[in-house]
Amino acid sequence: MMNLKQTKFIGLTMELDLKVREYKMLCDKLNELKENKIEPNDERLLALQELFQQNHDEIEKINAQLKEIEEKG
Amino acid sequence: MPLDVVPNQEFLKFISIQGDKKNFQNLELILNLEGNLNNISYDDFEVDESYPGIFTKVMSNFNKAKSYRDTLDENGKPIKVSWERALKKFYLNNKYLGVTDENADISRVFSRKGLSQEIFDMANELRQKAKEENIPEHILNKPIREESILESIEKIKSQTEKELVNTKEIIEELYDKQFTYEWLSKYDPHNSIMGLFCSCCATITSNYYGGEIAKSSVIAPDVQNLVVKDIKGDIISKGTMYINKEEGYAVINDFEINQKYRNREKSPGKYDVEETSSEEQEREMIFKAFQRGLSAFVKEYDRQNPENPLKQINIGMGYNRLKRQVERFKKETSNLSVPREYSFLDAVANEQYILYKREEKEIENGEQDR
Repeated sequence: MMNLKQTKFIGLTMELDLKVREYKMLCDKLNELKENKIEPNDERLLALQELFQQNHDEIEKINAQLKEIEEKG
Repeated sequence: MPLDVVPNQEFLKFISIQGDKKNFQNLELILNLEGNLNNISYDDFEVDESYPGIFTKVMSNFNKAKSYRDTLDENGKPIKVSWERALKKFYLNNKYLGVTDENADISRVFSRKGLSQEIFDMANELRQKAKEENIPEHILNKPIREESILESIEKIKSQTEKELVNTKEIIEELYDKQFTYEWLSKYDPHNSIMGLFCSCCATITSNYYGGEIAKSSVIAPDVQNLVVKDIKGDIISKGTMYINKEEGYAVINDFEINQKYRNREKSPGKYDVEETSSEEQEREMIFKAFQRGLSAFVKEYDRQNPENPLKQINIGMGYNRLKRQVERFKKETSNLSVPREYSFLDAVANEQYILYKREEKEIENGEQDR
């Protein structure tokens, strides 16, 4: 039977897995736009930039929580 | 457009103004690059940059221009690029005399504006002079500019990549901490009944050789138990180690593990599961905990005995329950000995593997530090 710490840890790794997948999807989208020679300041990039930032912030948050579990031992 | 150069046949074929094929596609391409749209009656043309004089340049050097189609890709594989790309490259590389890697950027910018060789030379000399006089590139010694959205995305991407590397490390560490090691105090009550936790015969009441091992783990000054605990802090695995301080070596009888980590064990320490299975991964983590424990022991031992550090640690294979992990190490050709009264039968009467061997370290005066 898993304890609370293990449950939290597994939950976070699953969440992280989803975020990594999302990150890869965003990278694919970016590559596609780059292949189509998008201008560096094309407004279509703005939405993508926001999604990248959101994804980064969420990964950072998960990281902080994992660190907390690690430090509490 | 100056046409005082006589075009060769190949060029005429290329621009399709003779022969059967008269679609003028290539002619359109060069004129489009030239940016001389007034002479072309197409409304749909969009020109992003112009290449003044490219028509004459290509016409008078057609063979050279053509050769720019054959190039290598980033992996060094020969490829053929489009006519458009080849002609642009040819033009930019041949617009001026004296183009080098260092001033190719000047050539690129100036050629697109149709500037003369004389202006190119002037700009080139001016920048050369600035460099010779060590004029800094920026007044503040650093570039200051507003980044594009694309650059900003790339920056976030690289921060995310960095974050993911950190996360990976934390997760690995957390996985490791599912099992922790401890060099058990010789006064700890678990020593006497270790077999109850590790599903083996190491209890002081045992008639089997584990009885002697359990006793020596309490009473013998040169024997100690290295145990691995699960996340709840319960002992689930152990290795009893004998140390010979005079000779500078140690022998672990074997690694014993609680029955609940020994599913599908077809013979002692051999499991009928894939290396990637969750059961085997669990044993892998237990073994890693042992490795960390041994490494901590060696470090402290060497610190306390700098003149006579630990040279080697072997382990016996008899009933060893982590054979798959141990077999990755080198097999001992001549077993290290253990006093008979300790009954380390798994190590003495069976193969030993070398878990640790101190490397010879060169010291500054050329002597060997053993």
